Amino acid sequence: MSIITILLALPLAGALLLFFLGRQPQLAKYVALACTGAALLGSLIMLADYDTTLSGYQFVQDSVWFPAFGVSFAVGLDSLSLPLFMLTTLLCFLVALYSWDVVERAPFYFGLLLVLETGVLGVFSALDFFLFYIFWEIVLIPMFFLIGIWGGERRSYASMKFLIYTHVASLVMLLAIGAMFFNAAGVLGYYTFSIPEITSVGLSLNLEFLVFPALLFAFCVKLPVVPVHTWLPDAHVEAPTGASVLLAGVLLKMGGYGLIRVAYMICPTAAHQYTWLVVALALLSIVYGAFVAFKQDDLKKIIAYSSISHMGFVLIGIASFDNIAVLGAVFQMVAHGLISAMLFMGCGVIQHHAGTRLISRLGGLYGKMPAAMTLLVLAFFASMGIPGFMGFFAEFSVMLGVFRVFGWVVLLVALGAVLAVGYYLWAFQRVAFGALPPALADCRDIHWYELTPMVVLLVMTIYFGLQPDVLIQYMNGSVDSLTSLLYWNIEA
Amino acid sequence: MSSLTLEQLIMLLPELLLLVLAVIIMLLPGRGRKMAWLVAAGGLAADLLMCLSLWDVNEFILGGGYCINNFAILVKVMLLGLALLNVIGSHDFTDRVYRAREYYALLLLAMLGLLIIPSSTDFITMIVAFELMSITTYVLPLAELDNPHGGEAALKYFLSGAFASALILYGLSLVYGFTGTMNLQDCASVMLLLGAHPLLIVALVLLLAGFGYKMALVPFHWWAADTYTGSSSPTTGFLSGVTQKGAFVVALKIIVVYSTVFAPLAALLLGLLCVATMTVGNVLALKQHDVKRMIAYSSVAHAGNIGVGFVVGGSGVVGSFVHILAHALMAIACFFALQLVLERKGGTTMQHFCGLAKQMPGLAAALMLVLLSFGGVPPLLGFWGKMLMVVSAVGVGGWYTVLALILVLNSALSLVYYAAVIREMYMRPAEIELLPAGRNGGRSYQLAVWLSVALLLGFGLLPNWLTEICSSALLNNVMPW
Repeated sequence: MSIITILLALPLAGALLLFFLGRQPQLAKYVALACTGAALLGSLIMLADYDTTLSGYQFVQDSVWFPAFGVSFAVGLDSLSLPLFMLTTLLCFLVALYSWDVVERAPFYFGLLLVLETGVLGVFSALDFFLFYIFWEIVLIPMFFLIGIWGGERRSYASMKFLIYTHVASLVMLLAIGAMFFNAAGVLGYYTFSIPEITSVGLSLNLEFLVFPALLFAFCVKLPVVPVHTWLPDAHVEAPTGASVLLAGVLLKMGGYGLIRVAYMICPTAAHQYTWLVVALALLSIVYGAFVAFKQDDLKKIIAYSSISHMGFVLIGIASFDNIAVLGAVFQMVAHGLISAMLFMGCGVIQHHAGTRLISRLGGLYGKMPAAMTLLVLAFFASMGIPGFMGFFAEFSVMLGVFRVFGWVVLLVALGAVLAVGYYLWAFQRVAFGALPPALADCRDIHWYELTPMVVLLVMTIYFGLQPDVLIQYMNGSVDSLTSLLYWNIEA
Repeated sequence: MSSLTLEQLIMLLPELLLLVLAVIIMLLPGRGRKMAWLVAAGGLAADLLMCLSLWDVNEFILGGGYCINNFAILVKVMLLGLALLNVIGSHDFTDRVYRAREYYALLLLAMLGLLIIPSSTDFITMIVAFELMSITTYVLPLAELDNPHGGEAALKYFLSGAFASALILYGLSLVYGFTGTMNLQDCASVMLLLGAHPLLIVALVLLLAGFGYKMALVPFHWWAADTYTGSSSPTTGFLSGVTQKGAFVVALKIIVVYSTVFAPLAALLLGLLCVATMTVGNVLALKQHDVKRMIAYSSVAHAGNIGVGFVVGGSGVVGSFVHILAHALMAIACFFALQLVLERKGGTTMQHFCGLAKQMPGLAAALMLVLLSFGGVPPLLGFWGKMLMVVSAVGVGGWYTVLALILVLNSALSLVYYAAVIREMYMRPAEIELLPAGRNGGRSYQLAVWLSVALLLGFGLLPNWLTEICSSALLNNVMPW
């Protein structure tokens, strides 16, 4: 049995324990912390075992599950999925810690959190399309409940919108998977859902042009990309902080991961032909997201729209088919995972202690909660792409690659980064400085369980920002094999 | 005609047992509620085992008029198991029903009809069995006297059923007039020999319309919502989860006969019916405020889903069978859950579901799983049937891809109203207080709900076994030649 299987089973076991633990709600957070902590520890042990010199999947387990249709329980990690897998175990642990004060239906809350962890880890490690789809769907359900039960005022609307939007996208993906499955069966002469096998079979050109748009749609909804982004601001704003962190930190990455692993790896020719479309969508996301972020009064909405803008970087990086830009895109996924988690936690702190996130009702908080404000501004800096933080390296690599491939289009990409400076600093100025509204006179500073995760994230953001090589050594294999495969496919 | 030997008689034991038990139940002394329940449940369980022991027996008996093969056994075992589940759950229901003995006797006779259908090799046997099943179930909605809508439900069910039977019989008379035989195999051979004929198309349309009524396909669905809503929930579970599925088996047999010459036309007609059924069923369900009516319309939509597999053929039919089982389990679980909600909260509108997760956490969790399975969320069984159908449809290509797309979109649409019920249960505070529990506290309902959910989860996690059996049983076995 592979260590991945154990890591997948661990949170699920914890969740089952919690669902039957209804009588002792105060125990729930300890169980959740123990499970996510064990998963984090396990994934670190796995990381130590990971051989960066090898390309291809490691820690593979391939057990037959459903032989009539060639479905198997196949998991494994390569240099594309490993960083995202690690990101997930880390963020889930930090969120379990951050949610220390959740008391309302605590066992249910933490149980859902653990189910969510299993789902996301499964998506990143599945080597079988079937398994991939099942985990993809499993992710939706806990998030639907997290938003719908612990969310804000319009939680009911937001959770339904989230569920329907993303469920439609997954069903479109299922159709595409069906087409790829039958194409592979026709070529190989036997049924298989194995992702590596289907990838190596590829698709006929006609089929690529049918399948790629379906996959693009499915993954762009998740990423999200303008104009199919509208579920995200609602979901983010209404979700409780813990769910927001995971939504931005890891759920969005599922879209980017799917784009690279499935859409681009299996349909490179069609992807190349559709570059204009993808680039247009990415630029639209970058610029539109940034401009809309300016207009928001709700801090969470600013961060939600900045997420859309930053995910545009990922999309254009992938679309450029350029080594550096693809590396930047993968790096950006991890960077955004850490940074957006920090941003949403900061937002949660303000919401918690000041009772509102509306900028118009905030002000002068620096005097009241200096530690929280310092962390928030550092998170803003990281998200803007100030050198020294992870975001800088990611955005810079993307822009470099984009310039190499598309030339001066890079100015529009850079505009997104420039606008980010504007909306973040303006928002921070209004929140932290100026007159303190009387309603906020007795607000306290950050709690330890909120501080610790944010500090951990900050340290990692700065460390990987200064030493990107430490992280890149784990990604290189994937980027090289991806871009070489893409080139090879185009030339062939 | 050869005479009946003892070995052949043994093969007919399941059918004979049901007949005998139905008579015994009617002869029970007094009200005989507990006894009737015991006899029915025990009889169905014994029958199930008997049918299982006939697995891998391939025999024609009664002069070739009755066939026992793996397809027939699969259908029998499936339907008997579902009926058993329903009877187990009905214990608390028939405890307060005026005519419990009649209820179980009719139920067993309906099962007798259902057992004969898959084994029949000619139209006459098939239709007689089908009518036996139909006529006995027309009365079932009347079982609970204090249900004010029972009469309406029964009458609508009866009128539409009688009309459908007329259509079917007229269609069959045309088939007989043209082919000169009532034997399914001979019919197919004659059609193959003589080729397509307009008269046969008329007969096909009449048959599709007739069985369309029985399967509740749009536009022949109008009775379903009223009958399913008006009947008491355990009865609805039986109608929607067991007897309606018999109509699919008959339809499958007729499609196979017709597919010798009319494959594209039959597929097109049925495909159009399915598209209309899925879409109309889901859209109407979306508009409902009463959850029972919503599930009734969703049953209509699911009938369309099941039909898609028949249209596609091949592994799509396997998908249909998986989905028949899945929908039957979901319907039985859901209607028992609704009955419990009705008894404990006084109604089944959306309001009655508010805050159910706090008031009845176990039931709410089970119902949530059932609703997610209805919506096709993996890894519950409701997902696998749909997925097999979609994947096979995409595999065939052509306009079947569009059919798959419509199935997928409808599945997404259906999740809207299923999720709405989950939302009421988990995300709203309770508005209506719980009524005191009845004599048994609806324990039998809970048992049936959890048994169904366990099967949905079990088959969902290990679908291989089920699909293997379905495909091996269906392969070359649907038609007994």
